[in-house]
Amino acid sequence: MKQMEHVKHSKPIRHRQGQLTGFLFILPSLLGVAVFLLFPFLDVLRRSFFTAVGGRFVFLENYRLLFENTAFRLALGNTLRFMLLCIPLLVALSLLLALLVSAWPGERVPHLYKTTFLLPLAVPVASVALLWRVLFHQNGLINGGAVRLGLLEAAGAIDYMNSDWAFWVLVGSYLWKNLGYDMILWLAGLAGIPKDQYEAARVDGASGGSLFLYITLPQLLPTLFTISVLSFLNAFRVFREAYLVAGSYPHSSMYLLQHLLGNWFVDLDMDKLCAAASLLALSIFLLILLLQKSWEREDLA
Amino acid sequence: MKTGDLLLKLRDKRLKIAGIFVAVLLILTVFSRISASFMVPIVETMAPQTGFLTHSVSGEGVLVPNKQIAVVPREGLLIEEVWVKEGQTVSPQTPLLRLSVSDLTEQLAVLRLLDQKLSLQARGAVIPSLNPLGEELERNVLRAQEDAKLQTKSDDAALRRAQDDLIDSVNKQYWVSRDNSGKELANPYEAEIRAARRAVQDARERQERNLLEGKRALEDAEQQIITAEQSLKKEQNQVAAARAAAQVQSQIAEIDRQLNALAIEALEVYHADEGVLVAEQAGVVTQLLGKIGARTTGEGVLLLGDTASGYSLEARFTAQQAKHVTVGAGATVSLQGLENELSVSVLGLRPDGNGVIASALLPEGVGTLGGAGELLVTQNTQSYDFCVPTSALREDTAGCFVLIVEDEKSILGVQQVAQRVSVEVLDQTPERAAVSGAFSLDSKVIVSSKRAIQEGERVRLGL
Amino acid sequence: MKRVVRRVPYMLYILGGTLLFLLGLSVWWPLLMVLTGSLMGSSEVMQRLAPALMSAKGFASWSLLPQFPTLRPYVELLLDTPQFFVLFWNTVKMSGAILIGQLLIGVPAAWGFARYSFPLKRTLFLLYIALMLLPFHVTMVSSFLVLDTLRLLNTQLGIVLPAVFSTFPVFILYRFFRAIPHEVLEAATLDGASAVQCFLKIGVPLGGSGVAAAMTLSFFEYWNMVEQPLTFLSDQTLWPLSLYLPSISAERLGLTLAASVIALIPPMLVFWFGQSYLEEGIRVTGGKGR
Repeated sequence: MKQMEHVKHSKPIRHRQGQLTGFLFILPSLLGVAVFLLFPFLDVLRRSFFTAVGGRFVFLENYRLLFENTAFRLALGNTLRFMLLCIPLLVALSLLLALLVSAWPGERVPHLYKTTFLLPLAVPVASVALLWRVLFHQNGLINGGAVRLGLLEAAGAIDYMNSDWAFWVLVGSYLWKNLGYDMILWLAGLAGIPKDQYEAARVDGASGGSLFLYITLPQLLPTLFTISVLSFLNAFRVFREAYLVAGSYPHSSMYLLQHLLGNWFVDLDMDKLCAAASLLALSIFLLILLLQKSWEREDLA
Repeated sequence: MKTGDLLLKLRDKRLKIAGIFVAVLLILTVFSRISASFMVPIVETMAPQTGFLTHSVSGEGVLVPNKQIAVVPREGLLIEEVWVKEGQTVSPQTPLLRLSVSDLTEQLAVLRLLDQKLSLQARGAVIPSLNPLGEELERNVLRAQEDAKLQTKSDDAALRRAQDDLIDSVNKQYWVSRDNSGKELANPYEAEIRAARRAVQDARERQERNLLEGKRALEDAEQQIITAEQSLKKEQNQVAAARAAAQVQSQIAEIDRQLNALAIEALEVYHADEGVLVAEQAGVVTQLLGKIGARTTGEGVLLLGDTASGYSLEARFTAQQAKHVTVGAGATVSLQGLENELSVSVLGLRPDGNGVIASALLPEGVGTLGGAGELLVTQNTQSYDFCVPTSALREDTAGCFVLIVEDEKSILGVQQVAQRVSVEVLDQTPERAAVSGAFSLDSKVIVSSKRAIQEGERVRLGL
Repeated sequence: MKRVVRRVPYMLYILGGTLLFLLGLSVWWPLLMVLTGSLMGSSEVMQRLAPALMSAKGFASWSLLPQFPTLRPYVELLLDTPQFFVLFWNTVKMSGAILIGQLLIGVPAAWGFARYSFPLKRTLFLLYIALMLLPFHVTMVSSFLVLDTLRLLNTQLGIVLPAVFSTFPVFILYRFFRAIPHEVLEAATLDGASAVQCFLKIGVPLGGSGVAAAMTLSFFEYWNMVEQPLTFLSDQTLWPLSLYLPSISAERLGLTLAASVIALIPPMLVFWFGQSYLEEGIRVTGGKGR
């Protein structure tokens, strides 16, 4: 019922005058977006069908070459692995945290935790990168601590940044940074669930587990969409830390598409770069379109 | 969330803290900038120039007259008094010094005696006579000839006699043998004829022998004559030489006599002047060489400068300076008591110990004798590609270098940084130095700085 | 809510508390490390961290209390290192300009999307979301060419302008503006308020916390810019602090840590300021109104 109200209240203005006014409101943004985002993207798309040198139309040849490129396959694989692993992990973990925090009695402790988990968002990447280096170096603090505690032989020290561990460091960093963000999202979702539904269910004798399963989860589904999208967005930002710590050529386990694109840019490998960029962009668009329905029902009704 | 709430929140202490943070950082920014710019030394720079160096060296010296006359009395005279001092101006007929009259008298007497002796020597030359010729030899020849003639005569007679005997004997025989019938008879005269013939033959042989003997004697005599003639010629030469030598000696003696006469004449003049020497022309005594009580050496006893012919400045330069002093180089002269500097050129150079003495002619009417002066020789070198002020040159263990200001991009924007450029010093004056190094005519060479700067240090360009 | 809690088993409660505590520690501990490190003085930091940063022998070590606390790194950084301020103000300048620009461009756009209806609006908004999600590297080449054409390469304006037109704040603000009840606007329109007046007098104040949230998120984003300045700014004097900090050499580690702390302060202040808005902003983007 509340939702119905909501839709009614936010009904957009619909008349000719209003159409023009609305368009005028977004016009400055639209122009800028066209120049600085849309046009470059379309240009990249166009370029992906031509050779970099000579500008010959080759249609999908660049894409074919792309898939033959081992570096691309590695980067794509890493990125996919990262996305497929991180986003569910983050979503689940943040939901767990949200549930824990929301279930915590009192006001101060939940507030403290909200603050705590949002804090990494504010920590400058450069400082994070420095910490990475100090922590995960072969002679770093983690190995040092483990050796001191007797958990590890000094000779067995792991060089995290130069082994397959690097990927997990990346995952950890992503989780560390975005847990708070997603937790707040979940908390919002949880807060939006009318309490009377629980009351009613409890009267019917439902257990805690079934309450969660049959009331909480279904109501959180729309939130899940937003969380996924934003987590996806933030997943690309993990490149910053990776770059500041390990430069353009990190260990192969954390060689992401952005590394590859950046290196191709430096090497002026334009046709491959544009093809890869277009592929990435198209997959993002596809993802958006797939999720559009849920989005529409939620927002653009 | 109401607007009022929002504004209220913005006014709370968090905003204050943020404001304080921003203000503190702003102040620190300004402060660190100012302190940085205070720490950065201001430097003065100058572009290297293409051109020449001007070497200026100065030497001090005194003025000397352009023309000097020496007063030269005869050698060996005793100087009794000197009446002038160095630097004294003299006019013609000014007495300069006096020679000892008694010494002159004495010397005159000696010379006159010598004159007599020489006169005699000139006249009395003896010419020796020639030795008598080899008469005896000639007589020997004559004798040998006479001997030969006599011998020949007696030999002829003996031969004729022997021939007559022979003819007689033969005649006798004929008659004997043919007596009436013509029949030959036994010859009673045969032995006689034979003996006669033998006698003829003997006579002939004797004659022949004697002729040879005579010839030999003649030859001997002739030989003797030739030898004698040769020795005679030798003697004649000796006589001629002796005669010539005698003549020369007499001539020498004559010349000596004449010289002596001249000396006598001169001494007589001195004597007549009572030993006083006077200046022959106006001038300044520049140098007094003769000493009282010493004998003259035949060189000048004093030098008289000709004041009318102007002065030269003779300035001394060290060996180091001498490199930059050449004949014809432009120079200026500053004199004591003269305000203006004079432009001159170096006329002559002569070595003097380690250094040189350069002379420069002063304009007429300038200067006084013995006045001190300074000669400033300025000379331009060849053209060099890069000349920098000498103050820009720096040196350390790695060699000579200059610091040039270069723009360097840094986090603070474009900064000026002092960069080291090694150079080789080609030539140098106290003001400028010609160098070669890796920079261009646009380079900003640091000439001076407020404090000592190091290479790589940030600098600021001064005005 | 409390009744839900009561039904959670006790064990889960303890486990959850431990998890929360550990994760919380993982956030605070690094921050403390940076803070104490900056108070250690260069030699102590070097001694402790040389194995990790300069591959010296042994292992890096740390303690939460410096052996010889000193403010020297701060003095050195704040009084003797004008470079730091150049970069600091570079960051402030760029972030500030971007925030103001986004405010001027993004807020009306979000208002337009949220309160008006016009042809292709749905498509456009989807496009905005898609463009928001595009990583920087996708359009890098063409952005480079566009900036080159506009002669904005190697200028801070070249970083600021594309960021101003970022669609992220539009996405965030959209939800806030959608949440404003229709009646409020209708009433205003009936009173004779123009569209602009409606936007300024009603939309902006009511969406104020959304604006604050969007700006807070944008601030975190642009305070930490890496890719854009790295690609478009060749002149290091224009760089933001986020690029410079990692490049301070290991020898000046004390300085790096002090600089990290100083660089941490503005985001912390903004965080402190905007945490409530931020939570609200994040919450609203989550799809649920207030």
